[in-house]
Amino acid sequence: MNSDLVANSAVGIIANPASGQDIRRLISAASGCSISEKTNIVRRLCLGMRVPGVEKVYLIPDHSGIAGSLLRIRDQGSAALGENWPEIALIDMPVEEKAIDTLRAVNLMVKAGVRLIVVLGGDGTHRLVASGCADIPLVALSTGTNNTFPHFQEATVAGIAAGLVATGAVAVSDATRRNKVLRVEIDERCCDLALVDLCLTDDIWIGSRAVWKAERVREIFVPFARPDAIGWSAVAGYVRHISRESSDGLHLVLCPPGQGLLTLCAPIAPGLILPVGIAEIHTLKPLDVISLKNLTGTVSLDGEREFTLRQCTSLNIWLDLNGPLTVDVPHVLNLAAERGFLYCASTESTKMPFER
Amino acid sequence: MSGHMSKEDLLKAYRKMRQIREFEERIHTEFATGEIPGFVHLYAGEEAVAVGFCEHLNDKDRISSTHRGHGHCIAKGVDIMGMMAEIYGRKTGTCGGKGGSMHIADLDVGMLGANGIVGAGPPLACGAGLASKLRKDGSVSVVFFGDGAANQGTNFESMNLAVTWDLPVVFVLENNGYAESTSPKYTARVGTENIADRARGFGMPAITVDGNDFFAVYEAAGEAIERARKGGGPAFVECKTLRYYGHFEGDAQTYRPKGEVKEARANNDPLKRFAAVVVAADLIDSAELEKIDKEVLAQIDGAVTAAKAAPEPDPESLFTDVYVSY
Repeated sequence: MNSDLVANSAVGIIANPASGQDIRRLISAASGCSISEKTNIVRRLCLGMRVPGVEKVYLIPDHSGIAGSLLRIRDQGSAALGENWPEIALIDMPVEEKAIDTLRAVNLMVKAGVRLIVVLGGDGTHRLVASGCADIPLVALSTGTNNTFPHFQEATVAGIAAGLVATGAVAVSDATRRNKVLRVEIDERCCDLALVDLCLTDDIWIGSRAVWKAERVREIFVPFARPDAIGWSAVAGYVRHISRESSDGLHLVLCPPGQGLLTLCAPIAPGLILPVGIAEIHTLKPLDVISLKNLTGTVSLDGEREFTLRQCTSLNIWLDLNGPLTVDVPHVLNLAAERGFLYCASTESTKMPFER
Repeated sequence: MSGHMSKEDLLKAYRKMRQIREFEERIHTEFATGEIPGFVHLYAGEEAVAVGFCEHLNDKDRISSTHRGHGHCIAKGVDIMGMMAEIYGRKTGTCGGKGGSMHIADLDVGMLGANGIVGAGPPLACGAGLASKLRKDGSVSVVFFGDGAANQGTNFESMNLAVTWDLPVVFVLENNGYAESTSPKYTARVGTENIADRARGFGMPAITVDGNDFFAVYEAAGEAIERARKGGGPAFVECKTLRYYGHFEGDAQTYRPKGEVKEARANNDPLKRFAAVVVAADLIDSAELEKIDKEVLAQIDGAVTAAKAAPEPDPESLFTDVYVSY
């Protein structure tokens, strides 16, 4: 098995320290995820990835946040507890405690030749990573608030799956699926994407970013729609189920509850269930561009206000089937189990299957 | 909190922030002349926090403050003429010139006092919160404190008390990155990046916001205050910000990275960011903001002139406004 491993099995980990910290903990019953817990998750990822033989993990640098804490835990864990860790490499980059950190880190990880990137965060964090990772596969793990794109998955298990793909034990083509995204172009220059939902709102500033006032949301665009989702995507999911694999998206025009085509009660945030009126329902077809003009308000991407609009702003929105690749963790582990990849070397041996 | 801010509200908020900024810039200049007695700790750079919160409060709501309290006083509605005179130690000051910068208090507007003791504000706010709860008057207490005070036992005890008794108290952490001269990164293992992490351990909702973005603070403040006012209990809002001056006037600030303040003033200034948003959204004309700037400059000028001309307290006043009469 070892001979099949790729020479460079480096993995990047993007763990957003700001995810799970926003205003939705005040306006809903959303959980928080502390830096300590995120550090613990990264630790479990690292230990899991080491099983198939990942040799190097790249992290965003910091002194006392996730990376700093992880280095302390690693030193304790490997020395006192005999844990088997990959090399931890901190990317050489300035840290501004802003979204630019994630974008910069993803760019540098891609340049460093990582085989995949593990993302810890909510839909917003994943959106940032997806905007710069090209075809590097993502392992999408949830630590944010409204999590429709990433999954809740035990990090040890996700780490093993990530390691199996990064080392080449399971081929990328077997392990991943292609995601749809929404592309948005503002004034024909500023281009961004949404993985889960794009909303046009009446808010006049970006402020605390989250979108939770149903009366301010005018239109919703989604690349897929599941009724078991949370957030604005759930509204679409209640109207029509559109799978991640289908080539359609959905566009809804909202209205006050009790008016329009129908009114539904949707989980806008954890514990926050609001009535939402639906005035119009439109199917989005790939590359059909929806052009909008003379708008005011904001554009939110994956639940966070990102752009303010003025009267003169023009907006183009379209569905793109060529979004990021994500690793299907259960499928990878099923393949590994079927192929016996995770058996110890012999019945007498307790050596890890990929231990050199 | 519902609806947007009216133009009148936006202008009022901007005026408050500008008043704080000009007040502090002028104190910075005047303190260097040696005419101001005692110590001063300036709030410039953190205006969005005080104003973002106090815009949701009324005179029945109480705030407790810190040694860096000028901004909280102005935001809560303490008279600027009286404040300036107080800082100069004059008879016309808010507290008769006997308190100075770190003890400005005005109970008529719900300002429980600036405070020279780090971490002394949270218990005061809990006391006021308990009074609100017992009186059932719907008032709320807001405590402003810094990242240094976040490590004090008084703060931990107050968070525990507020949760245990479901007090209408909002804990506002002004994380300006320096506990006097030490980064939070060197003083704890939990909550070094986001001190709000610690508050969750007590069982209250806790969030972190960009403290230099007035609108982010205003939204978070509105939700936390309304929640407390309705009986939802305490909440914790960490506002990440930066003070433009030293811990105290005269601080050599050798702990700061070079260019930190210059960069913040240029690209992350709360007043500039406020102006950029309201002007871009066609809510307010930049000329209206400039008019406020001029009016505030004149107001601060007038406050300094009046303070300098005011008499000092009479020696006999040493025996008044004290708990024990001799």
